[in-house]
Amino acid sequence: MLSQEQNDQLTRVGPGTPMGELLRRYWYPIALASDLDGFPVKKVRLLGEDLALWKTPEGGYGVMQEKCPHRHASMAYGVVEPGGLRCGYHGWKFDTAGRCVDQPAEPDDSTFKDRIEGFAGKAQELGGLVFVYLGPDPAPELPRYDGFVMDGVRDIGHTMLPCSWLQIMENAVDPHHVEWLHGNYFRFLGEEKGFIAPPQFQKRHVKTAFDLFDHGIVKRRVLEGQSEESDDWRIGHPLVFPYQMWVGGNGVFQMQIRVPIDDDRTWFMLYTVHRPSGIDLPEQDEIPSYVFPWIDEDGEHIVDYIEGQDIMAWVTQGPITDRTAEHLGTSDVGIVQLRKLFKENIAAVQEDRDPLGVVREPHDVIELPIEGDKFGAGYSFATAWIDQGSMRYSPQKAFLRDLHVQAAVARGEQVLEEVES
Amino acid sequence: MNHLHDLPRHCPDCGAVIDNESGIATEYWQADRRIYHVWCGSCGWAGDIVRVRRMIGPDSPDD
Repeated sequence: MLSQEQNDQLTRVGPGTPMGELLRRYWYPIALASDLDGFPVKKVRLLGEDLALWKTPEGGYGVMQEKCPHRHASMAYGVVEPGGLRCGYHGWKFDTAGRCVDQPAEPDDSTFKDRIEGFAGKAQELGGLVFVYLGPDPAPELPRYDGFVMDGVRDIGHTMLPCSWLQIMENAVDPHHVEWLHGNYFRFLGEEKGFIAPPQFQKRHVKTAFDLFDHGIVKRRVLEGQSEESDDWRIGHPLVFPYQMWVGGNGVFQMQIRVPIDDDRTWFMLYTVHRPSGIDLPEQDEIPSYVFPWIDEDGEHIVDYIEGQDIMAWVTQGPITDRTAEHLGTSDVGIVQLRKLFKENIAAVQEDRDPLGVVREPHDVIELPIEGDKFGAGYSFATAWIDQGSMRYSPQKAFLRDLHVQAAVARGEQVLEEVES
Repeated sequence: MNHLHDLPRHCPDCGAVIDNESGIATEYWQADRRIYHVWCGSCGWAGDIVRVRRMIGPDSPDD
């Protein structure tokens, strides 16, 4: 339970708010690179700010305030040109730093444009995503977390959710929900509706732990039948502060990304790399992407897959959950720790220090901890995730599944199903 | 909402105000023990504060 004031502070992300100022110290993916290959400019929203994002003819990216500083028409309807984005209304042109570089209707000898500047952020592409930074200069390095740069077969599922990013992040330090939401509830649904829920998620938690590291919080668990020698305890996997979680195992690597669009809307993305050992991985010309559904035609939550269950739990809490009326127990200590971590880092920003996870050193890759053998489940962890997670909506689902089965055969694992190709 | 009335308002170490501007107190429960996990933004103290209604000591075995 928190006071209302604390809940407000932790969930308000707009400019000038304490949390908003903290969150502006990080880069966020705000579009798929492929979005801008078809048409080079689009409207985006991040941290409560409307923006125009464009791909320059030179192959870079620019992002600036959506409203033209002239008379506030949308720059998302602008003209992309070498050297900048030109407003569609009267032709004022802005470079990627936000400087006005042309006002074609003003006299040739006018210096008016030199006194006009729009707010501009920074934008870069990494791993097929366009990342944006809206904070103060100097911008930190865009962290090259291993999931975005590693070899493998990529798959991007995404959807927009009508709830605060914070209640999604609190789920990332709540290991117990796995055995209940994805275990017990999934099993109940299967029994009622006539399918077999994945048994890998039904094991009881014996103990959990949360350890701070340079990029967030490493989450560890011992499940029934496991020892402290298991990967789930010895290695664990991290909440990547402040808005991501790195999860996977058994040849699947997934960055779960929760982009705060504003206080009560979150762009939820599952950026997955499939890299089972034992086979040569095929080249990928483009990264398939898709929107996965979570509401059916009757307006009910779709809960017969893993992320649909998570989304039900996040969205039914309300747009911003009322933390003055909650009842946390000892199994929620990860959440208590995360809230404290946010407050500590809000304070760091207020004291002009870099908050946790801000990277200043140029680097090739940042490797994050992740389990190799997840839940002791072997290759079936990967196939269950594909069959009964959001990847069941992927246009390459059958191919991904076959990839893991073929790799298991090549590794000499016992495989209980036919290999299709 | 009655849980809010005894929310810790001062750091037990430096006495600074624990409020929205500096620090956080989060209530959680361990069986019937109501615990506030407190972090002081002024001095960095962090720890649990527990309301105790009845002190119970160990029952030493007779010699």
